[in-house]
Amino acid sequence: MLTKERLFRFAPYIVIALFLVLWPPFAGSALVGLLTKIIIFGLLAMTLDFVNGFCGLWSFCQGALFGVAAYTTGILINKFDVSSFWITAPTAVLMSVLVACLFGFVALRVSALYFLVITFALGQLVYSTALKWTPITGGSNGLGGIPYPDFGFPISWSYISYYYLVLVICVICFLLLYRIIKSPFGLSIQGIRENEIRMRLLGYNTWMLKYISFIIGGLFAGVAGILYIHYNAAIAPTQVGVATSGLVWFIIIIGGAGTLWGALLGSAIVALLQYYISIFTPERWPIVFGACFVLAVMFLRGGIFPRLRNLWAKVSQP
Amino acid sequence: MDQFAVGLAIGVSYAMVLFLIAAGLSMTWGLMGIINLSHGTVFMVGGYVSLTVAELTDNFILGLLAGTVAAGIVGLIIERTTISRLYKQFLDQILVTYGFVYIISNATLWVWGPHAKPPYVPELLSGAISIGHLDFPVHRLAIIVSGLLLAGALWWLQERTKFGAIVRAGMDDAEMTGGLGINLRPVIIIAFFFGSMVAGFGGAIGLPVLGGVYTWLGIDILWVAIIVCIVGGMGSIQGALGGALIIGIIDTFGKMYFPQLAMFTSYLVAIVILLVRPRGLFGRKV
Amino acid sequence: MSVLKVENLSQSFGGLKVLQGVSFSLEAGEKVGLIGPNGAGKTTLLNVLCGLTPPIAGQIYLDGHEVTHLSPDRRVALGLGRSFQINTLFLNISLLDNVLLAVHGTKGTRFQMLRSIAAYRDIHAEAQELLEKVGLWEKRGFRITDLAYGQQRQVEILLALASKPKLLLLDEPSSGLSSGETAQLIDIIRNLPKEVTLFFAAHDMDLVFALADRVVVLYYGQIIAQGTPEEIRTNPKVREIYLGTGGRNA
Repeated sequence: MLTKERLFRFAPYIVIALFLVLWPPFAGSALVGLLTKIIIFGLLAMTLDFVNGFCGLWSFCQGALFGVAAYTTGILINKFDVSSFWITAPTAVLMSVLVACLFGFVALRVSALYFLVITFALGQLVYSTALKWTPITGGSNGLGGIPYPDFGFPISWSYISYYYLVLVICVICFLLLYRIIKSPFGLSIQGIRENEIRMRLLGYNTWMLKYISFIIGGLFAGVAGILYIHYNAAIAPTQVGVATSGLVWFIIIIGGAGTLWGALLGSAIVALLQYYISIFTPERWPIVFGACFVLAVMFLRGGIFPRLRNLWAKVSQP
Repeated sequence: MDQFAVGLAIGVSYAMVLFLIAAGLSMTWGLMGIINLSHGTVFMVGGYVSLTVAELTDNFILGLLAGTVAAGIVGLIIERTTISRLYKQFLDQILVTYGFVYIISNATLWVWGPHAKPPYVPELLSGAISIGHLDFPVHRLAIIVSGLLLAGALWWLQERTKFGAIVRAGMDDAEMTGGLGINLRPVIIIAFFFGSMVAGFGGAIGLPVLGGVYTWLGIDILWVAIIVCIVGGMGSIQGALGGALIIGIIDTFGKMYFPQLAMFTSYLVAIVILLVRPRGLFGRKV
Repeated sequence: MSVLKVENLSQSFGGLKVLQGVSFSLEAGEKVGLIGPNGAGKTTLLNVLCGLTPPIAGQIYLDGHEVTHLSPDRRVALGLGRSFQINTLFLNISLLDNVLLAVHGTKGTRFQMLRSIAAYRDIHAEAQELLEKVGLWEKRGFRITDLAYGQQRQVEILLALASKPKLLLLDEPSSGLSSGETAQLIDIIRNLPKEVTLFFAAHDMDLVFALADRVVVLYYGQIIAQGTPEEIRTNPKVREIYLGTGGRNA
């Protein structure tokens, strides 16, 4: 099946994959750090793409679900002296899933617009818990001094080795999400996005399907949260609130919803934009962000990835 | 007993400020089906501009007017450049207003700096009247009075004028209204502009109640305004007023007696209402 | 036992009585047409029957099971299928995906998350069979929005047929179709298995006469007549409604 045409069509993906795997040992810590961040937020954005781009749910709380896992990890390590990754990681993901179960149950009782408002409200609840529950969450300062993961056997951690861990885990998550999208379940959530009434009259329990996809989104958001706190060595309330939930919206709007790859592309674009703007005017980043957000919604709806994909398809067909 | 009375009065004055911002939010929500997330920042702009003008000219009324108009202009710019071009794409319109929150918040940070600014209280309204053992500030009384007057005027506009009738018809059934030959577009623009002005006025006059302006005011107050609209019901002046009174009084008493829980209770109230009675207490049939 | 039994069904929207005391039953294999002027309540009756809106009074029995308040997807599992008056399709996915969704709706494997849908050969075979019936197999990669209106309408009916329902509810199936397409539709329906019960709302009298064994007439939410197409055609009450002539002066 490895024909020359197929190779040519997938060339960009192969080049990017090679870059991600082979370049880092030769790159400086800044670039590797940036790549790590891009991949982590790419994963988080993919969860929003899954929940919205494929299932059509307007979730404004992915940041909160991300934060629940990050904080759980931080609390276990800092306040309860539990450092083993084999305990902290599953617990953190479990917490994200439980919170998603709760939030999803509440939010799915209302229609689209109110779903957005309720998930926004629920996200704010997580934020204010993180802010106010100082003895456990560290209050407005958050939790710091979080080390690299402790697997039980000695690993010489550096920004490079952690990058590869992140890469491996995210690739696995991406493959899982991709598998789910291509399955009967994946097609049925797209059906819900397109026409929920029809789905019900074809025999689908649409409430259950939406609930499950929301929980899946929460699960992977939790994974992203765990990867983040070990990368950042710290977590603070502002990182788990509306700012992050809004950031992933920006990512999939610019990158392209309903494609999974668009999340990664969008994450790269946003990270690079933020990096370069911060060199010139770090204080004005929010204005640039806001302006780009507005412009993207108005003129780039559909995102950059589908356009690039079509362009490459045309170019690669002789 | 005195403390209760003063608490009640403070709650009502806070409620009036909430009403002024909720009114515009409720109108665009009811008329266009979108939640204008930038409305809070518009309110904040009204506060900042009125403060600066009042300080420069030493004239409170001038500051009030300037704040009101400035807020109206900002609202109009948002509507004309983006909202009107995304006709009927509700969720995109909401996203766009979210982008403006960042732009306007950071712009005010740029112009006015990161430090909170204390309010400007004119001679006429300073001082206090006594209720029993406790003092009640005169400016709060002024806020209550002007808020009620404005509420009355807006209610009259809603119920007794042709413009109000068109707005209400547009909320009930936009297509039908269009089908009757009534062009809703200018009505929407005017409602947006007007709602922003009212919010600006609220920002200008409400500064003493809020303790001044600061960069995150736009975002913090937006959330309270959304809760007011959810509780009271969107699309009507009575909904905005009712919701504002309930939230304003609960919030004030909450802060007095249970300060730790303040933030939580408002979110929880909103979630409960959304689940039990989505159209709010006085809202139009959703 | 009747396939469908409806007792005393009532529905109202904000004070307006849309259905009043509707009672009738359908036996297996019957093809019954539902006619009535606009606003008579035909679509509302179909909505109540398939579970999209609960009635305020009355009972519905599907094959003897009471389903009055059962959710639509459970009714589909019991053998109900429905098409809509306005095309209710999955616009942004391919025609093939539309039909796959329909075929899969009543199969247990629809919850599968880890196997690719391409691996389900039998589902694909069923989908192909359905699409070939209307000659749309070649267009299976097209998005719905790229199909002609008549073709979309055919897909609309196809989706209802995909679950091989026992009771098929069709709402104005031929609306918007050319006479050639209508003939093709009649063909498809005539070729359905004998045991399939059909209940269809229609304005097109030719369609009613071509397909119906029996006709039910709805007027302002009440059944005012039932009978064979011939009986209904000559029924004075029905003529009055449709032709508006006063009984005495006719």
